[in-house]
Amino acid sequence: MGLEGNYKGIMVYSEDIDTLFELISKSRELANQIQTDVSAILLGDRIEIIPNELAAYGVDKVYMVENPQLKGLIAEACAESISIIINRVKPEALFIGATKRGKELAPKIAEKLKTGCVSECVSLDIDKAKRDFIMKRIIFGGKVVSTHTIVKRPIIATIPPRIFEKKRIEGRAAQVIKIDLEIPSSKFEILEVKNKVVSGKKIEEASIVICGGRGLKQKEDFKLLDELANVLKGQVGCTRPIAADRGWFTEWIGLSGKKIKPNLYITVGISGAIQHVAGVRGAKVIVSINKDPEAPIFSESDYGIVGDLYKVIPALIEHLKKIK
Amino acid sequence: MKIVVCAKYALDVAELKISSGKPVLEGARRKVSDIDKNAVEAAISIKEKYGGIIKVLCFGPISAKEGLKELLAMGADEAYLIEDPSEGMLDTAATVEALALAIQKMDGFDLILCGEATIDGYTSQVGPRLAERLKVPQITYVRSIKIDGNNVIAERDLEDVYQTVKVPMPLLITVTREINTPRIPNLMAILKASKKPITIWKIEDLGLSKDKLEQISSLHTLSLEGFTVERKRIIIKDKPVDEAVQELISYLLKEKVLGV
Amino acid sequence: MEIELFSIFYMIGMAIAVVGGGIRVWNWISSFPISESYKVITDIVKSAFSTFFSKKICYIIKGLFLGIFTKAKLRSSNISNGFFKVAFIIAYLLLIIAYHIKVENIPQLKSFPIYISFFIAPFADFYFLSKTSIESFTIADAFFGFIHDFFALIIISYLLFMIYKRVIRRVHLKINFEDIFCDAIIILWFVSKLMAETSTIIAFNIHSSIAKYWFFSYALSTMLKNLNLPWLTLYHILWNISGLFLGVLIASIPFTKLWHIIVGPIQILRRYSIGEKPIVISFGKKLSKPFDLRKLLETESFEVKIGIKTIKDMSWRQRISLEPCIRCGRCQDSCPAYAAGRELSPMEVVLNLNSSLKLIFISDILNFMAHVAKWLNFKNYISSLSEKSEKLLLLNGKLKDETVWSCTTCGACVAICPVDISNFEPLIERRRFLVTEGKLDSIKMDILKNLIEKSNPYGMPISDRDLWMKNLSVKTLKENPNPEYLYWVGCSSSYDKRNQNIAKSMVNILNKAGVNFVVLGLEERCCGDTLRRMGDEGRFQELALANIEVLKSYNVKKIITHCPHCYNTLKNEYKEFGGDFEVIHHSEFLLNLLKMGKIKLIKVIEEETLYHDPCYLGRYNGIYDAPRILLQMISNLKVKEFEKHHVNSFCCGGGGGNVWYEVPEKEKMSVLRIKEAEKIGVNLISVACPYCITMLEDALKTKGLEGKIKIKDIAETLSEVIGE
Ligand SMILES: Cc1cc2nc3c(=O)[nH]c(=O)nc-3n(C[C@H](O)[C@H](O)[C@H](O)COP(=O)(O)OP(=O)(O)OC[C@H]3O[C@@H](n4cnc5c(N)ncnc54)[C@H](O)[C@@H]3O)c2cc1C
Ligand code: SF4
Ligand code: SF4
Repeated sequence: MGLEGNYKGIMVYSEDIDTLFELISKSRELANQIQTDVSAILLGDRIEIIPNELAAYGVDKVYMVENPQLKGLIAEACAESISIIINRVKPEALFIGATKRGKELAPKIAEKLKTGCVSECVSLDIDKAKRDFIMKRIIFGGKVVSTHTIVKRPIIATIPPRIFEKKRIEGRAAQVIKIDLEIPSSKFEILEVKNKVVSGKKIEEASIVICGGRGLKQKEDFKLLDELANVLKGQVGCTRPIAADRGWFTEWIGLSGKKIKPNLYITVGISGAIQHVAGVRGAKVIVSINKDPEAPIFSESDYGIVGDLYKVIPALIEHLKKIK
Repeated sequence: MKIVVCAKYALDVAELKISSGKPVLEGARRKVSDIDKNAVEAAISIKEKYGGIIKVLCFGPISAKEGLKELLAMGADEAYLIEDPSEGMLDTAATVEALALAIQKMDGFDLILCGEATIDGYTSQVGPRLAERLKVPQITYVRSIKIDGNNVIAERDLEDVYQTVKVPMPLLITVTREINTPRIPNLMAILKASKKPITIWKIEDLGLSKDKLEQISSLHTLSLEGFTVERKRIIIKDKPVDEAVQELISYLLKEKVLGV
Repeated sequence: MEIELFSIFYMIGMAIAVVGGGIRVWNWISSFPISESYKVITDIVKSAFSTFFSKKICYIIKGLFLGIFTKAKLRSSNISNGFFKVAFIIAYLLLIIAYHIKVENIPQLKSFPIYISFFIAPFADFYFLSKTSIESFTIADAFFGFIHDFFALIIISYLLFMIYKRVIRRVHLKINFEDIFCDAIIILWFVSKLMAETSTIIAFNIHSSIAKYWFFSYALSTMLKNLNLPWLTLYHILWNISGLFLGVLIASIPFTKLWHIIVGPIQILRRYSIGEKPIVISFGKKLSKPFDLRKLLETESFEVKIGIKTIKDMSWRQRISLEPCIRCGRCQDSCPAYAAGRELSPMEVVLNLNSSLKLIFISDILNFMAHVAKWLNFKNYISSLSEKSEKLLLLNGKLKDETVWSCTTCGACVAICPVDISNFEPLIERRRFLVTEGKLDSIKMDILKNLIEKSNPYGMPISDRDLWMKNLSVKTLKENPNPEYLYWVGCSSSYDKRNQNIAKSMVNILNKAGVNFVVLGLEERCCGDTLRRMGDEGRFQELALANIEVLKSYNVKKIITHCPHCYNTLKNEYKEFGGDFEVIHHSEFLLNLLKMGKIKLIKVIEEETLYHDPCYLGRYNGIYDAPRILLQMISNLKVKEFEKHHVNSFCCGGGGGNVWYEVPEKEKMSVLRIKEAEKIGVNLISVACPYCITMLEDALKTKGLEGKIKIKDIAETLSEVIGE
């Protein structure tokens, strides 16, 4: 410590462009509070983003590294580049988008710089007096919100996508600084990259799952759920009676079937038997649509609509399409 | 092949009690973090195929011995526990420092396996930090592992793609839950394993001190605010469909769960 | 006139039988240390002797007949079977008695040791008939002759009936050669014998005052004697032929299902000697205890063999107990898993294991040869021989995993087996092996994990266990340390919203009746039934010991529970681990409250109901009447019976851990049961088990009968009629 004085400005990085915009917007807001700059880093073997695009969200400087070693954005190479830039620029904070790539990158950089790192912040504030960053995150399976600060500089934090809003600010320009770096060649060799086909994905890995129960009267009706899944980029599952009794599918969700922990779980025409609920307890948010207000599933849900699924689901699809 | 698995004796968050807005950490139940068990299982299947020795390493309270016994019972060969002097108040940097020094104290490694994250803190930091600290390559989010000569061929699960990579050993891997189903050691195996020794190191044995670790640990926790996570049970009824759906969507937007 | 070849055939037959029998006995005792094998044999012999010279013999005979008859009664179609069998045994015993009266006069027979009479009595008529003169004729001869022919006729007609059943009616899908052979050889023996008797009567012109007691042969002889045949030659030929058949019959005993003649009685002796009751009323079947955790912890030696990987891992008791199977197929007919089209037939299980059992001898020979090869230094052969020897014993092919996990441990098979075989015991042993090896699919693994980590199969938080009693006036032991009763709630009614209603009804009734009771609340854990039936014996004992400790620390004496699985575990299984409590099932407890007038029935139910016997309440613990009487006491509620009821009851499909995982089947067991109810046409099925509710309600959904049929626990019904 003691070096804080030398560290100024907020720096952001994310390989996901939308997240990058969000981080810039949030950083702009914070930077304004302490009158400092926001800079962004762009990495790649060929960078297609126009740096000025970033300016529209409030960035002041863009550091760009184009290097063949950055092909595939291998963590080692990225961490190397970012830490070199940081050592040159000395920002007081580095925010990284908490995508999977971002989450493996941030701690590496933190370790290189021997500083602290907060993962997946859901709230970022500044204690202006102390010029300290106050970060909140959710831990212990969602039961606890912890508030942190980091006593070294730069502080590092990862921020999940869609936590902060991106806000365009018109009429700004950014300074683009291209940096040439020696990046040691990596032993990391990418053999194959397979696209995840949403439908072929394992249901355990899906972050949004829509599950149909006996409220769906015929197999064709699952097309409704497929459509909803398409809009949400989710997966469709079913309860045991649908699979085991009616034979429409081969797998089901629940205690005697697949156990899942999606971010969003939507039950459609499901009563909420314990054998079913026990398999989805880990879901972050559960939404239920059932026409029976007394259905036990409602007491296991965060949100619910009492209504006929054949009316609710099409309406839901329609409205979701609008916002997408 | 020498395999080191880092495992955390984490809080069993499902049992965590919240009392007047604070988590009750004293006497809270603990267990080996689920995904770390996947890592141990992965190590065992590597050992079964290619031979080797599995050491499990834990930085945690002395009660973590219970957890280590379970891992020995699963099939780990040796267990090491570094006693955490701070009751879990240190950050990942300090944890990694201790783990790294302990690993250096062992007679080398080909593979370090970690869980992608722990069930309680879920920082996902220890794996990548440790790789960096030990200056070895890392392969994160691994859902399948093959050994090919001196190389590891692993499939990574990234947001949009599955990436198959080839990296020479020594290296560090973090595994996902999907990689396998950890075996459940039967009670006999646990009882038998309870006779295997667990090496317990104090941080001083690693040339560290509490002060030093506290100095490394730069992440300070200002507060822990607990809330009972019952389902919210916001039920929309007796409203026109369109209105109900719009209301629901606005809730979901607030929850930020409508897609990445 | 001696019958030359007769005794030679007999002797050869005996010799083969002794060798074969020896091999089979070897199969029982192989791989036990000599001292233990010695103990095995002396145990059997001792118990045989002690029973013979004690009053127990009466019980045994009673048990034998009672067993055969009542078991036969379980299925009406088998009454004929039971009748034949009883007649057979009575006739046989009478024959032996008559033989003993008579044998004094026959020097050739007198020289045989007395126990041989069991084997010679049936053909001694040759001597009795031909050697008896009018002067020496006694009432014993008459008696013998009559019984003899009577006996022969019974057997012949019984076996013809069996052949008819097997070949023409095809009761078992496949015709089995061994079955037909056994039936046929006995028929041939008796027919040839009757013919030989006939020829004796004619050839020696035996006086009708004697011959008439051999009534069948005598009748034949009066019909045939006018035929001009070489009767003397025929006499020689026929007796020798019958001797040949007898020789073959005796020789085949150890090699065919006829072996049950020998092991059946041993089985019964053994059961009695260890104090097991006949299965008729309740079979109180306990699972074997491969170790005692407390001892292991004390001695710190954890090297115990758990479960059966090879046939040799079965204890001698288990090995013997499989042997008497006569392939009658009754277990298969009564098995709900078989009926549901699961990959399980309890008969196949026993037969497969029996065929494995026979391989022990061969495997031991191979092993011996491997030793010889080693000694002779034939290196090439050593490993292949010992490998083969080991492979022979593996049970992988004989007990498929799917089969092993298909059993609900309902006990229908055990209850009906005429020779008291515990068909499902090996399945549990095999589960123990699979669990020890960690060879489970992820769903079963998760169930065990949930039980281990959360002490409940659902994996719900321990701290949620008392959520059901929020807003109810229930005290925990902590709050009321001096209760009369502890109400044990069980996992299902603690966590399952549907079944919480049973617990709530119980609380309502108990409070209304002013019973001083408490619950354990958060200190209650799963009783361990699922762990034990799913084969995790170690974890079961761990849980049982922990529960017992808690119960004892509060000085609990009397426990009420509504779950038959908890009931059975707490009552019968905890005893072995030092937990001796008075455990009362709610059906009996509530009935008592009613009878004592502690609760008033204020409402009527205009309904017809079927009562479904839960396996662990009925078959396992013999509680059949209490729930029925309780229901009958409710005004206007008419109690009807399922087609299969009482000891015959058909499992809902939930026992043995099955309620937690999925077994591939053609039609769910629960659906089969519901179909039965549908046929009878009632709107209410009353049960006394939470698993039955889960399974049967599931079947209602499958059949789309929700709303048409309701499933209720008796406590729920009772709670309704006593008002809130
Ligand atoms: C051993 C065992 C294991 C089991 N394991 C599992 C398991 O792993 N997973 C599992 O899912 N189940 C399992 N079950 C079955 C479980 O008990 C329930 O029967 C099942 O989950 C119920 O499925 P459901 O909710 O689709 O059907 P139901 O319970 O019939 O619910 C249908 C719901 O749809 C509603 N509905 C009907 N029409 C409409 C409409 N037009 N609009 C809106 N709502 C409508 C109704 O109000 C009702 O609440 C198991 C059962 C057993 C016995
Ligand atoms: S216990 Fe029941 S399910 Fe198991 S084999 Fe016997 S009859 Fe079949
Ligand atoms: S086990 Fe028993 S019931 Fe089954 S076939 Fe054999 S003798 Fe008959």
